[in-house]
Amino acid sequence: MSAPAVEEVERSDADADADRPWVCVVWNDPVNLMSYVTYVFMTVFGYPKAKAERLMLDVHHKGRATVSSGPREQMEADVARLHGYGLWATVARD
Amino acid sequence: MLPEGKAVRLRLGPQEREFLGELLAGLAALLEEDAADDPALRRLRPDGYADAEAAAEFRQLTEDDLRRSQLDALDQVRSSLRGSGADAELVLDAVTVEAWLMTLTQMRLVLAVRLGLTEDSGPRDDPEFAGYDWLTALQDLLVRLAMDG
Repeated sequence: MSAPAVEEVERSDADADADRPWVCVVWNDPVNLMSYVTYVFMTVFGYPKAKAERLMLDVHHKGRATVSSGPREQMEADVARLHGYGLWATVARD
Repeated sequence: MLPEGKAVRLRLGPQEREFLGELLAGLAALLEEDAADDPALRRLRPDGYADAEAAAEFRQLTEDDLRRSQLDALDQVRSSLRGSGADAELVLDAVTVEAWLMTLTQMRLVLAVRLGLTEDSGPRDDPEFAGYDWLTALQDLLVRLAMDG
């Protein structure tokens, strides 16, 4: 019996890409109120108020925030719900 | 969301009701006419991906549901307004408050596009903004009530 053929190889970019989780990103806009954005994060994701406020402030000050991550289908559902609330959201790779 | 069993009492004057009625009619027309190149409608149904091809696919999957939920919320607001006399007060339950919040957002997003509102829009003494600012104040009030029960 010969030794098992195992060798270490460099991962291709495509493999690394496949491991990167999907995320839901919310972008700042000049219309949506800080109170409302906090409310939406609490309602859609069930986040406690403190976490929802922290994410809202990230959106407000940094222009965007990652608000959830997970399988692609789940992120698409999150983005669709946020669009229903009038937030500007996109699905992206982390 | 407002705890179940709780309600919000909202008193609107005849002028305010008329203003809301006009905006609701305009919004309904916009949502139904589906002019995809209208920038206000683009804002109400934004791209779900930065990549154009993925965005088109996402739009195909989700747009009908989004249109339906936007129209649903609008209809709930309309019926809550229809229920009472010219200067009477509205009593909104939790579900209806949610519909008001969504619809006020839609109306403000559309107005902001029409008025060219940006992050840097300075002091707004333009009377055009008065209606927008009134909607903003009403929404902030409702959202605080909904959030803190």
